[in-house]
Amino acid sequence: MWGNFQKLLDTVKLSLRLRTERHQLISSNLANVDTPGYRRKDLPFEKIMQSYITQEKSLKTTHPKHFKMKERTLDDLIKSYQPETLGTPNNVSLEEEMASLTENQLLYESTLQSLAKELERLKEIITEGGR
Amino acid sequence: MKIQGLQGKVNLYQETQKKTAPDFQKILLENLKEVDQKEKTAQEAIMALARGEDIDPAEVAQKISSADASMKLLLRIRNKVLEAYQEIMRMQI
Repeated sequence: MWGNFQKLLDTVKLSLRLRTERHQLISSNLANVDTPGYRRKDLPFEKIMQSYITQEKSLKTTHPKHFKMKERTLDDLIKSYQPETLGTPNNVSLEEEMASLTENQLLYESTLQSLAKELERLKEIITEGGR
Repeated sequence: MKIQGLQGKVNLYQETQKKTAPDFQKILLENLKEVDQKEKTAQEAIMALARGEDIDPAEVAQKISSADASMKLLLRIRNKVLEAYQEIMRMQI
């Protein structure tokens, strides 16, 4: 029904979810800045987005009992990028984490705002077009 | 007083009629295509921002605003044209 708009919605939804995930990871890095033996966690945002977009053309399901590819693979992707915690000295740099936190927040907000603008325009077209 | 023939005037009138007005449908379609193109570029920019590509957020905002303004103008013009049409329909000849 939505056509091209559905693709945009899906992409933005996934993007916002990943940004939230990343925000949590960086926050935990900041919280553990003095913990001995803590390894910093992060997920490479662009890599996940790319691999998700390239495998978007997955198998069609014709039966409700068929495996759903997408959900499982996305969770696997997020989990597989978290490095192991080993008994090594911690490698968290406070300034670096703060910088990436701010950058992540900025991009999250701008993505959300652009989506809101797009939806606002759609609503305006629907209401104005009926006059 | 000498009465002049109308022949000259008629020729002049015919000559002005030969200059065809620009095609209204063509203008309309061109502008519609332009608005649609702006909409598509704005959506593409949002997708690029969501994918985390290296794109300036200011550029995305500018594209969205441009598409917004074009769409609003198009809607206003469409409503005006429809109003004029209805006005003409109600006109008593």
